[in-house]
Amino acid sequence: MLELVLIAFAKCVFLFLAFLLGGAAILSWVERKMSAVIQDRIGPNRAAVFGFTAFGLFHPIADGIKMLFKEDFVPARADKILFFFAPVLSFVPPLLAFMAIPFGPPVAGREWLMVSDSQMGLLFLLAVASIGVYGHTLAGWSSDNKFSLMGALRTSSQLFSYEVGLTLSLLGVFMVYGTIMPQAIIGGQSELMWGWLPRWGIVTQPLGFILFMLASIAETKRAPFDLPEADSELVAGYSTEYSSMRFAMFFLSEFVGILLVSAFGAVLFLGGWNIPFLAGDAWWVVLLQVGAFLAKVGALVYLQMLVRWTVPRMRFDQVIDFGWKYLIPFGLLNLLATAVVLAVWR
Amino acid sequence: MPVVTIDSRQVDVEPGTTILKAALKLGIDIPVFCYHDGLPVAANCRMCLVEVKGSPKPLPACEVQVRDGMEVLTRSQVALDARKAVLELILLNHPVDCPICDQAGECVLQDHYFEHSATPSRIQVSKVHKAKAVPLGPNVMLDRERCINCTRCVRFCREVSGSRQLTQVHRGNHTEIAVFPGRQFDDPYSLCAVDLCPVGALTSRDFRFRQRAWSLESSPAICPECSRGCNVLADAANGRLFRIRPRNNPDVNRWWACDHGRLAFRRFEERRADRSLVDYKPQPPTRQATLEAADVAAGRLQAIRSNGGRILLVLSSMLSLEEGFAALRFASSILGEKLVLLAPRGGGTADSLLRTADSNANRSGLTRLAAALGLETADLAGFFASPSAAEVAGLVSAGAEYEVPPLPAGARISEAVAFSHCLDAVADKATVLLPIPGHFEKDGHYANCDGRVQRSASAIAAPEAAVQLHVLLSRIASKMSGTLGYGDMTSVRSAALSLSGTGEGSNA
Amino acid sequence: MVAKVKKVGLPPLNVAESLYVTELVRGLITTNRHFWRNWFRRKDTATLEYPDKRRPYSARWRGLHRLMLRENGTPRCVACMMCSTHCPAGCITIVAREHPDPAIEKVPASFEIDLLKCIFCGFCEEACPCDAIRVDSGVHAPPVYGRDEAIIDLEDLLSRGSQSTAKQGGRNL
Repeated sequence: MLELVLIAFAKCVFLFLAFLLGGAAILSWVERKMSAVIQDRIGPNRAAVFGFTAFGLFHPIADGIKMLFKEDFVPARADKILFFFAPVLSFVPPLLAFMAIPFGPPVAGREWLMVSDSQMGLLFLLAVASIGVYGHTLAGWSSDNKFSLMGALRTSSQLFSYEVGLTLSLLGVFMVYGTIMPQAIIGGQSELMWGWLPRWGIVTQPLGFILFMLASIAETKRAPFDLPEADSELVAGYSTEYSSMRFAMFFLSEFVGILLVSAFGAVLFLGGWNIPFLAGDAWWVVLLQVGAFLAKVGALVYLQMLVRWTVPRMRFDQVIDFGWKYLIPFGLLNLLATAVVLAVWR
Repeated sequence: MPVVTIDSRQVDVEPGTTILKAALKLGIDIPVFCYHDGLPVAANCRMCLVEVKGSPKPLPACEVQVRDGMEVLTRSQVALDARKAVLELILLNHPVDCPICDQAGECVLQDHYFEHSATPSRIQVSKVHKAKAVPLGPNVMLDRERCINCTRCVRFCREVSGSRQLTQVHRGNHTEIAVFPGRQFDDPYSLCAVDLCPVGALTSRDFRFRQRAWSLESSPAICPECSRGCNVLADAANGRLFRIRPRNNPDVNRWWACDHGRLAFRRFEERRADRSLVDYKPQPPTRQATLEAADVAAGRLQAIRSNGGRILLVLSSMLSLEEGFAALRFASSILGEKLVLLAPRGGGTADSLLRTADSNANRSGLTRLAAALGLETADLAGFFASPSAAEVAGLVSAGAEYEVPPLPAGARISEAVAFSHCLDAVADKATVLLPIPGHFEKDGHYANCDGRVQRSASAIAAPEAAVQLHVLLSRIASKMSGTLGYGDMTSVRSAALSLSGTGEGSNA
Repeated sequence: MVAKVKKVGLPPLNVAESLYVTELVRGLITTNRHFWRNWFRRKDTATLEYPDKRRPYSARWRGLHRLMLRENGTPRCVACMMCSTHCPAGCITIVAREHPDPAIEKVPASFEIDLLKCIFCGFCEEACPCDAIRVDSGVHAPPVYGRDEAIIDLEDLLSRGSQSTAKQGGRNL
């Protein structure tokens, strides 16, 4: 029993420190550098350690140190308890959701590369991830600031709207592979169709993948759906009154959110850690597979960033319109088509 | 009457007229250095050489008198060549240090060079160097290199001022202007030599290096230092006076003015009253503050009047006719007095040329004006010594610079309102001091010792707080529920000039 | 006069454009192209990393004024005020004083240039008969906290000066 707890604890710490915090920090650099390169600028390159700038990779560290030493400002009329509690509430759920993400195949019969392969499977992920909206809403409400409140209202209405579309886009995948357990879904995707085509989710559910990507961008509140924190309208939306590490928690939760939906998309649509035509228990195979999973996550992150620096922000009524009038009907259509095809197939 | 032909134009002139004067009658300008209307002819610069038909050589136009039938060519090749040669000779040893020369910009040599020569020097050997910056006297500095030996200054001392202090020494290249050993050039008219000098050899030690000639703006003014009323040009730049030069008036001062009068203008800058004082406390330096102080003065004068106290006007003899008229009207119609106290300035010294013993600019004019208005005048010092002075409860002093006599015995003077441009002994006694424009800051008319009324224009702007006397008096009068019966400066001026017996602009 | 207003309508969209999807993909291709091209060689980047790298100055760049020196290190300026007379901005204020050496006679007691008024036209340099003032130091006008500090004085002007061997007053002095 103690051994199990210790192993789970070690996995959590590793996941938290190495992958999430490190990943989120690096993503903040990626975002800045990538936007710069896309826009023919140079981007962050000044922070140096002993004269080495390492493409500006020290900037996240510098930012972190700066955030730590900033004044933690609290508005006089803010609801203190909720104000302190909200960043935690928005930061923890995406972290928790990672428990259901497998980073690699089972090794020696045990899930070393996954925190918990529970029976709830991906439902757990969906359930936990959607708690994050409370953090944002409460942050906006407790700040006693009209911009924050507007941001909070937009967050809640947008996130609730797209939650439906997101879930609908996943149902098709669950139906095709007949399970909600991540490792089982990856196992289903590892098979080949007609002997040569990998049975990945993107092949079996192309429309589902597009709907998932759209909904996930909206769920992470990024352009063109970044209405909750539209800088030109709402200063910084729900996080307007936040400073210091509390602001950093919102900031990091956004990047953890990107990692989460990218990992989620990789598991469901890109075959997870699967490399077609490669199987086995050898240590180098496992290593390659973990690398393949990270590469797939990276590719999806790249796609999200590219969209964010390509498409301008939509109007808020258009965002909600799009969610209800296009995303959900298409999701239902996809569900119906999948059901018909599966029925005929069998 | 001889008839001469100058540049193929004929002119009829008096016998004995020089070619120069005859040409001037035709409007033909002949360049000169040494000739000056106010000095005897020397004809030593040779700049005025002109060709005369029948003469083997060109002749100096300033000296040669016309004959009947004479034919003169001022722009023939001979005349032009002669001028060019003369200029080259004059410039042989000239240092051409125009950048540091105060005369630059109003230098006759510069003008003639550009008009008649404008060729570079051909001299191949070193120039003759002489002493520079030699203080000749308390007011005059000599630069011997620049001197062209026209001897205007020497002739001035000999013929006009009569001091005979300057002379020429040495010969040829080495000729110099000098004073006699052990003496200095302390002629009371020494600055006229500076004006006469066509180049920058003689410069004023007072004006030296203070401003360049081209940045000065000249205004025609009247010198206030004595009753002669010399016509002068007041040269100002950036709102400050820099020098006073005589202005030719053949009936008053001709081309001259004394050093004393030319250097005295600095006293208008010293101890300038640039703000009003109420009970010796300075007010803000604004026009509005002055007007408010005038209201205070009006209230206090009114209080004395309603208690039946007597208020007398003290009138400085330095004021213009316009100011004097306003003050006298104030005395007669508001103060209800028949008596006005005239307060003259002392300290005048007469000399043989221009200066008079009376150092007041307008004594005769103001006396005449008071008489025309039916007012009696008394001398301030004499009145204070008389027993009737004890009844006086208040004084209004218009103008400044007079000496304040000791107060009468048993005096009950509670209020003294002074209108003044400077913080002198009068201002020290004033309970309310109201600043007015100083002499060179105002436009006004003055009558000199001969009764000649002359106009003096303003050369610089007055400080913001200084308000014209007639405006202040009119305001005080209306606060004391009376009126002076005039409107703006134009009506004051025409009334003052007609009362003093002259029309406007009678500056002969 | 009434300005002519030209009304410009939106360009009509064809079927592919009205679906937005093709345009979205085209946009993604554009940003993608920029990303990879700039990632490997930074040809399109116009940014100059200023404090480390500097653009070369134009040959006509003048910079702050300076006052030249005689061989013995004293100012060449004789306070003739040609520069202040010529200055179109009226930014030069000179007060002259007597020099103890009568051969020099006149020197500036103070020489002030108001850099806020100065337009750096160089007319003062051209007007100067003594090669005393030059507008060629290449030094930028310094930032200041108040208008008074923008007035540079004789000492400052001389500190940038160097020796000039130009002959004063013509050939055969």
